[in-house]
Amino acid sequence: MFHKALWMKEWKHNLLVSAGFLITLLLAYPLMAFMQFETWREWKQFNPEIWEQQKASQIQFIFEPNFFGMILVGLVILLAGFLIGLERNTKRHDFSMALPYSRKEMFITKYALGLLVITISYNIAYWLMYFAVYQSEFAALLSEVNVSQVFWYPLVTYLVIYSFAMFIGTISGEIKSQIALTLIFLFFPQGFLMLMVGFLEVHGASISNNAFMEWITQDLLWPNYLSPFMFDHLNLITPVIAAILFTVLALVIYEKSPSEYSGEFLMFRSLHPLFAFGIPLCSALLGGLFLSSLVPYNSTEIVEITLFWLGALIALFFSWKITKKLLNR
Amino acid sequence: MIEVKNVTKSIHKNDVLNHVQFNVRPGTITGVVGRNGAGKTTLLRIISGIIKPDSGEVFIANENIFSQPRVKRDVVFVPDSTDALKAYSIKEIVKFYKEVYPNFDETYYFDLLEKFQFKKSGKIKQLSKGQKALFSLILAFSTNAKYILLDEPTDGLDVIIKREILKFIAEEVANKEVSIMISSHRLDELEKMADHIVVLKEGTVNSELEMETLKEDYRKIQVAYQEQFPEDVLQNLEVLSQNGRVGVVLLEADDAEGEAILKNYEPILYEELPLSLEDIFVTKLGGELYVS
Repeated sequence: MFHKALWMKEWKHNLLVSAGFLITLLLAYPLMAFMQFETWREWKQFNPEIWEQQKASQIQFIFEPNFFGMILVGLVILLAGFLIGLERNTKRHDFSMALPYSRKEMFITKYALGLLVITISYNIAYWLMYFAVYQSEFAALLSEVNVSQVFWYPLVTYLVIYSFAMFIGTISGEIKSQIALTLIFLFFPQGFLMLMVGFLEVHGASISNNAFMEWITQDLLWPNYLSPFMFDHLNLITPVIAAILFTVLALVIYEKSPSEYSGEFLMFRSLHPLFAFGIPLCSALLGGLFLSSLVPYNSTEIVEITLFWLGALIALFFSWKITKKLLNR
Repeated sequence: MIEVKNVTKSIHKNDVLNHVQFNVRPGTITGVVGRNGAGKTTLLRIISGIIKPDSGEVFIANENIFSQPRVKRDVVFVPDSTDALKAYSIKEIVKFYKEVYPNFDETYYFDLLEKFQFKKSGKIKQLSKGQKALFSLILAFSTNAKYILLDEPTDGLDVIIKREILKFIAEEVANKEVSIMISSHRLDELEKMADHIVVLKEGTVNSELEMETLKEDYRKIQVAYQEQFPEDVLQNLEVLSQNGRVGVVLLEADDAEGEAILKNYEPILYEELPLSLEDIFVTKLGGELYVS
């Protein structure tokens, strides 16, 4: 199963984005820690009272991904795009498929490379920061941090989003559609739920929050797992199961994907009807919701409904045109 | 031997290949000819395992190329573009090919680079278009693979580099136990090299021809008549060209009836001309094949 040539090929084409991921992590963790040390020393010396109040939250802050978390999510998606989508954009796809390896071996190599890049880079950055704190005069503050929780939640988040982006990569025909579809479907369950609730509410139905909706908006919203405020409300088993599921699906689909459609929006023609229906539907719901939200507070229900359908029809018209162009490229 | 068995493929609901079937014998050059869109590249991509047929199978040395991808160690596909290699340097690609193809001959590779005055370092993307085409052939032949599939190897190249490439292919085949499949719409090029020609027309094998016997099977005759060119000849024989009272006619070697029709009108000129592959294709495919 291990083929040096496949590893050489993948490493050659993904070195840059992998290095970008590691550098961002180094900035997010050890470098951030060193910068904070200077600030803390200043506080400790000149504002000891504030320092005493803030030190627990400060040490927790440097162990969190913060805004770097979103950059890292972007890089994880880009990494998956480089591994699958970019190859399909170019003649490299034919070159790869003509090599004497099975598609399963090719996918496993790609997947494993990304997995290792994420895991090793994350571990390097995280533990460098940990030892930086441990070696510093702030070592005692480590007792204020749940080291295992702040280690696992972001890592699992990156891995589930990576697996998801790889899965989307197997159905999309090139890097742009892979990245766009990954971003869309990353928030699709929550977005579609919001659109449906909005549609029903405009038409007079009252929707109360329930456990299922909470599960969709909270547990299935993967970036939530990067937020320390959510750590205690979320169970890591959900993204772990999802990551395994996405990986298995991706492996099966990669083996079956028809190479003749590489470079197109989607690899599978059978998905065209789904997208031809789904994109205009969601756009219409969004258009309707947008226009009905502009209605003054005191206007009647009929006006709101009329504007909803007007917005829906306008959005439907344009999205239908765009979808047709997109799928017939 | 490469065995293409009943291969059918449709792309975007168009039937690109339809029950294509033929064999490529060891140590031979097989030309796949057909107009643009006839399915030549699709056929080569299927044989090299890049795309899967909707039905039918491809066997190389009795192994199915899709269920046994290892057999592709003996098959190298050289596409019409070298874009896939552009990120590599001349030295890097050797390391990669040595891992992929166990019989890769590094010494031979560098000898050929020297012979064709290539630099031994630098990126492949820095080479000129013609050099890239020649380089990808050098790379392919250095693998010592038993089958090399060339997709339009001389397309868009100038005459000098084209001649160099064709000479190189011919020399390699003479020196090695290698089978070549070349897709081309240049009949004049294939005529000099190929042993066996597979003619693709609208996704089907229109005909298969053995070059050795081909020219023995047909005769090209120039005839001129005293009066006007006989209508009977135009109606009943394969007329390659006609200008006034003079015409060129293609006859099968044993077509005594055709010869009788020509002679029946007492031609003032009856001369056998050298036959080219183009003449046969123009006739067999109704003048639709040849695109220079």
